[in-house]
This record gives sequence, structure tokens and C-alpha cells, in this order.
Amino acid sequence: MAMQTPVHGTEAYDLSLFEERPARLKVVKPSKKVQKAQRRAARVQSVVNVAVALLVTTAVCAVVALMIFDRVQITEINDEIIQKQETLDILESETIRLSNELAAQTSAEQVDSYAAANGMQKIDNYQLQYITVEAGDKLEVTNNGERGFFETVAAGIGDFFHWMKYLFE
Amino acid sequence: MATSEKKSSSEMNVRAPARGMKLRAVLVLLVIVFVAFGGVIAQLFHWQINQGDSLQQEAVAQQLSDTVTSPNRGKILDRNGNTLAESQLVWTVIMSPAAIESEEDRLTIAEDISALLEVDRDTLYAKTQKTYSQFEYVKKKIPRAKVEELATWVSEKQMGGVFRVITDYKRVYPYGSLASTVLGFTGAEGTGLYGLEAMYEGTLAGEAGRVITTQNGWGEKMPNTLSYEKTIDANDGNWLVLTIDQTIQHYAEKYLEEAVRSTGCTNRGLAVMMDVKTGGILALAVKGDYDPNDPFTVADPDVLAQLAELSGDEESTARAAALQKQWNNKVVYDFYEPGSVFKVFTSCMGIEEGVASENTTFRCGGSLTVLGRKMNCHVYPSAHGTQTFAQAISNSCNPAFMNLGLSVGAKNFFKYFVGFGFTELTGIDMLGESKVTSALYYDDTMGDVSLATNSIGQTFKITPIQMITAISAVANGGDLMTPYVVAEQLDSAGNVVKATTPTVRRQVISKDTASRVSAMLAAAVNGGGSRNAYVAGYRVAGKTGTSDKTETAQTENNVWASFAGYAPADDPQVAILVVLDEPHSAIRYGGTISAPVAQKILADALPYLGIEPIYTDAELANMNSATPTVVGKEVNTAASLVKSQGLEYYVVGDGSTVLKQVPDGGATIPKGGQVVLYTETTVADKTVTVPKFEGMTLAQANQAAAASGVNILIKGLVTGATGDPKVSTQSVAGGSTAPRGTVVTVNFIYADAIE
Repeated sequence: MAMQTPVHGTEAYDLSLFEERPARLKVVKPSKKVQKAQRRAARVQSVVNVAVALLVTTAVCAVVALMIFDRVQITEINDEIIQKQETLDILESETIRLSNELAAQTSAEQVDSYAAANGMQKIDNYQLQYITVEAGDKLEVTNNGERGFFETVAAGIGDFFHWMKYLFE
Repeated sequence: MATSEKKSSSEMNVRAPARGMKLRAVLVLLVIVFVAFGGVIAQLFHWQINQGDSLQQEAVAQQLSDTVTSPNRGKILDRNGNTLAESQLVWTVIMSPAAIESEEDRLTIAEDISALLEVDRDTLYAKTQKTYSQFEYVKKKIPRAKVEELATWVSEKQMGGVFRVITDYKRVYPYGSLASTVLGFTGAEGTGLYGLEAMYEGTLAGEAGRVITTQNGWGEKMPNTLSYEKTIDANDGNWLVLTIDQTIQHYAEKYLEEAVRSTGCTNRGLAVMMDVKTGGILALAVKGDYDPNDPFTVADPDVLAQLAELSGDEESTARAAALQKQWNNKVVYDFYEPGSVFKVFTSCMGIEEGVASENTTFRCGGSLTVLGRKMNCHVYPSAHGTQTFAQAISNSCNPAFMNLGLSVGAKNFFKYFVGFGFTELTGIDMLGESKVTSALYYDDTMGDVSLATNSIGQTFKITPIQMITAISAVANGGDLMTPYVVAEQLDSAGNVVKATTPTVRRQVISKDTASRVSAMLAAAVNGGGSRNAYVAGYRVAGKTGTSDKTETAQTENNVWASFAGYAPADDPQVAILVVLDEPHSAIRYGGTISAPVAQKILADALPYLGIEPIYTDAELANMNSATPTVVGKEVNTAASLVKSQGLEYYVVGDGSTVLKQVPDGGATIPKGGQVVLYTETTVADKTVTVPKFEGMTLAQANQAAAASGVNILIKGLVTGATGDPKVSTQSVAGGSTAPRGTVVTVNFIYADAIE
């Protein structure tokens, strides 16, 4: 410094020394242990990143695939519905056609013709017997002998009391 | 200091140029964008803003397919739920001649498809020549079986692009011509043209739906259409449940057809049965009708023969007239003069007004002169002499009723004429009820001559539906009902949408009058002039009528022969009217040809309706016996069983067990009839020649039957009735050969001149 001609003239002090200077970062190199740990962490992080990326990609692909599959299924089912509907229409049409054929062949006129052709004779009105059903037209189904457990128990209790009554009469 | 100032200055010099440059760069960029893409932006503006709406509409029209879905036309059912009319899915075959590749293919199509689908070969070949066309009808409304045959043929011949099928509907009537004039029919487009099909078109047709779906550039549906499909469901048509009973309708049509054929009616015949308590029509038969499955074919073979002799316009006009005639419902459309049947109402007028009673006597000298005009009784030059009111009804005496009408007076006569509904429409829910005008009848200013002729049902016209409605009023105690055919309307799920309630229009006569007239009418059937309508076990009340067609009296001697009645007379349930228009049999009286039709219909319908017969002792004594079943029994046992039924037996063969019997067990034959018992199978059936019973009296028929070895089953005789009944028809033709013991049904008719 003494050897150089001062740039600033003849000032006594080099005031430039007192000017603010930007801070200079001192690079502190970490220890080797730390460096090693950092490298390991970086490796792990990169693996995790890849794994997450893969997972997300797989998830997205799966969702897209499911959506596509869903659409395909819907399309196939819709087509099936349309085909079934057409089949149903055809079968209904056949049902009507066959019912009409049956009705035409079993009409009163056909029955009369068939009976006459086979030498049958219409009954006289006096041959009809009219019956009066007082209790309406309900049917009574007789028990065919098979009974359930509770019915058997109930029947047994009824028989017991009937026997007791018989004893004390 | 100078260094820092210099440094600031240099810093300022570095920032200022960058901002300005940025601005200039952006400006240049914008200019480039506007210049380069201005045209595109302008176009975008034009298509998106100016043309946006119209292009959107065009895109919608191009990308969306709007298909109308036809609703199912409603069914028509009878009162018991039997289907009388319904729609069936069918297919129409369309051909695309443009897709036919070669002349050889055209010839193959013409040959094979014309045979397969039963179309004219030349017409089909001509269609294949239309190479510019992609749509030609080949055959409409074919069943599924034909479609499958066509598909097989197309597959074999590899003509997949030439044919396609589209769905369509066809109206079918399972019972053919049954109730055809009631049901009507539909046209090619499925709309009702006649009858109930037309009357209730709005109810039966339903509302069409729409299916809006996406389509590709070829007009085909896109895949996954249901996701892009908007459906507005069609509303199926409602169903009609009629008051008509299919079984009673069959009875009416069967016996009416027999009568129309046997009497040679040239202007058709009709039979109507009505529930007197509700006004519901149980049967409405018109013969000279058609098959609604094929309505555009003339059904009458005689008319067809006449049309075959014509040609050109004359043939077309005649065919159109014949079709119109067969479609018309004669019951509501045609007018006729009621004749002596109207005496029922004249009787009601007399009793209601108090001018006559059951014991009032009338004198018939064979004719009556009113204001110088002589009007004969139908027995002229004979005369009925002095008769009671009941006898006058039974005799159907014209002078008696003309006098009665004159006693009632024109004003009162017309009052009841209006009251019974003869000057207005009945209001029945059927198409084509003829408008009633004053030109058809005389009003209360009529003179005595008109009053006299009106009293016996001549010189005015009414419709058959007016007659049956008025007769029902007498039957049910005086209430004039509104007749109807449709009882309910159901939706396609079977829920009742609308139900018809019986409507009483007014009370015309008192219950007492109705009851007294009914008693006299029942006496007329039970041995009187209307005895051909007698049904054992039931009291039938009724009146016969034979009226001249006065318009054609100068050139032709045509009549209407009719019978109107109801049963059971003590508690009427049903009324019946039979009219034969222009019969050409030797005997043309209503009592002879129309009353038996009513008798047969009632004999079948009353038991069917569950109305129990009540037999008198005399009827029970004359009843036929049921042949017991004796096959497999010892001869002695069999003989004893046969005798216990009041029958005789005849054993053929030497065996001890009966192997065969004639007639079969259960057959009814008169007491004293013969049962043939065969005891050997090797013995040939004993055969006899059936006598010709037609024209024989009861005694002659019995004798002939006994002599020949056949049994006769007697129909049509009235227990205790006077008269001279003769056999009119027999079930086994006279002169034919039949096994001994065969039962031949013989129908007796009282052929007395009762009109």
C-alpha cells in the first residue's frame, strides 16, 4: 500500500477502507461424515421421488384405465340392453300372435264346430243343476297328514287336555 | 463520491434501455400476432359469433337423431277380460335397389323374394330396376317367422346391404268377425276408421314419444348410445273394457246367421241384447258383416259374385258401396218401421192414461175405417171378434190397437212417443248413430188416420237402438236408460281411468203400468201369438212385428220381420231385439222367423248368465230324459237303468255285457225314446234311414221316429200352447243313414199367421 500511489489523492486515510463492502461468504465445508449423510439422504430422496412419481403415474394410469374399462363396460351393457329389448319385443309379438291363434282356435264357434263334428250333443238346460254356496266360494284344503314341530306340540297338548277331560267326566 | 455517483449513473443507464426494449418487443409481438392471426381471429369471430347459432343448430341436426317412438295402441276387451282387439309388433321389409349389384341378382330377388313374401313378382322386379332408389317397400306388416326366413335367405345369398326391416304395428282381432260392426277397424296408419276404434281413437291411440340420440356421419347410431340418449317415453293408449260378453255375442251371431241364411235376407239382420237395469249392451250382432282383420275385402259371397260381373268404374262404385254397407252398424245407423212391436208402447200409453185395462174389450171386424180410409187387420178377411186387451196383444189385432191409439189421442200419444226416446238420439257411445229428424215421425198435430197407423207401428221410422232402449224401459219398470258399450277405460297397467255409470234419462211410465203390460206380453209368449219365443223354465215377455217397407211397396213386397222382448218377465234382466230385413222365405212373419232366433239366443244366454230356470209342473212332465251310461254293465242292469229313466231299450247281439250304446250316455231324448245296447263288437252297427221330418206335426214326427228307429229331441214346443206347430229344421238330414238310436234334433215352429 505504501508503494502504490494512492488513487484518492493525498488524504491521510484511505477512507475506502471504511466503506461498506459486501459480505463475503465463507464457505464452510461440512465434514466428511456429514457429506456422506447428505449424499445418502440425497440418494434416498431421489429414490423416494422416483417411487412417488411411479406411484402417482400408476394411480393415474389405473384411474384412466378404469375409466376406459368403465366406458367399455357401459357400452357393452348398453348394447346388450338394446339387444335384449329387441328380443323382448320379438317375444312379446310372438306371445300375442300365439295367444290370438289360441283364442281363434278355442273360440265358442270352434268349440261348437268341433263338438258337432264329433257327434256331441248340447245338454238341455234342465240338465243343469244349480247349487247355492252359502259360505261363498272359499276352498278348504285338507291336511295331508304332515305336521310341523309346533303343530305336533299343540296337537299333543290338545290331546292331553282332551284325555284329562275324558278322565274326569 | 464520484465513483458512487458514476456507479449509479451506470446502473441507471443499464435499467432504462431494458424497459423500453421490453415495451417495444411486446408491441412488435402484438403487431405480429394481429397481422399474422388477424385473419384467423376475424374468421373465428365470424363463425363463432355471427354464424354461431345457425351452425350450432345444423350441428345438432347432423349429430342428433330424433326418432318418434310409436305408443302401443290400447286393447279392447270384453266384459270378462277376453281380448277382442290388440296391436301386434310386425315388420316391414325395405329394399335398397341401389345396392343391387347385377341384373342376375335382380332376377334372383324377384323370383325368390316374391315367393317368400307372397308379393307380385313383376311388381317386385320393377322396383329392383330403380337403381337410384335406396328405399322401396317390399312387404308391409309381416310376422317374425317371415323375417327370419328372409334373414336366412339374405345370409345365403350375401345380399346384406339390399334388405332391411323396420318395426311396425298391426291391429289383430283374434275372434275374426265376432262383434266386427261394434269394434270397427284401423287403417294402414293404425288410426281407427270405423266403430269403437274410431269413436275412441284419442283414448286408444296414446301419445308418441321421442328418442334423441347421437349418430355418426352415415346416420348410424353411435356406440354407447344410451349414455347420450334422451328418451321421452311414449304414453301407451288406454284399454277399453266393453259391456259386450264374447259368449253371448257368439250365441247372437250364430243364431242370427242361421236365420239370415235360411230366410234369404237381402238387407242383413241384427240382434241386440241389453241389460235392462244398466243399459249396458251385452251383445250386438249384425250379419252381413265382415272380418276386421281384412276389412277391405267384401265378405258376402253373393255380393262378390255380383261384383265379378261388373268392371271399370261401375265395379269400383259397387265395391265401395258394398264395403260401406258391410261396415255400417245397422243397429245405430239404419231406420226401420217397427210394426206391431210398437203395440207394446201403445199398450203402455193406454194403461198409463187409464183409457184401457186388462179387462177392456175390443171388437175386431177384420178392418177399421178411419175418416173414410179402410185399414185391414192382418187376418182380414177373417176377424178376431170380441177380445180382451190381453187377447188383443196376443192376437196382435190391428183394429184393437188403432182404437186404443185413437182413445189415447194425438197429444198424449206424441207425449209418450217423445218419452220413450223416439225423437232423439239415444246417446250410445258408438259411431254413426243416425240423426233423428222430424221427417221420420208425426208430431202431436197428426190426424186420426196417422194416429191410427202410428198406433200399430207403421208410417214412421226409428232405429233399432231406440227400440231396444224403449223396450228395456218397459222391462225395468219405466226408466229410460242411456245405452252404452264401453264399461271402463283402463291404463296399460290395468288401473281404472274412467268408468261408465248407468244413466237414467227419465221415467216414462209407472212401475205398475210396466208390470201389467209385462204380464200380458208374457201371456202372449206363453201360448199366445209370440209363442215361438217361448223358453222352458223362463217367462219371456215379448211382441212380434212384421212391417211393410212402404217406400218400395209399389215394386217389391219387402218387410222387416222383428221380435222384441225381455226375460225373465217377473224380474227382467235382459231385453232382446231381432230384426230380419227383407227376408225372402215363404213365411216372413216376425213371429215365425224372428221370434225363434230370440228364443234360441235366450235359451243359451239366460243359463249362461246364471239365471236359474223355474219349471212348471207341466214343463217338468214333458221334459226329455238323459240317457244313462250303461257301457260295461250287465244287460239286465243296463235295461233296468234305461227303463228307470222312462226310456225303452233294444239289445243287439247275444253277449251278456253292454259293449256300446246308441245314443251315448248323457244324450237327451224324449221319454219313451229308444236306447240301442250292443253286446257284441262283431255285430255291425245297425243303421237306419233318417226320415224327412220337415213339415211334420208332432204326432207325425213321433210316429216316423219310432218306425225308423231314431230318437227325436224336440225343440220349440210350448207346453200347453194351442196351435199347429210343424218341424222346420232337423239336425240330421232326412234320407241320410245313421246308426239306430241316433238322436235327431227337430225344431218346431208355430207357423200361424201372427205378425
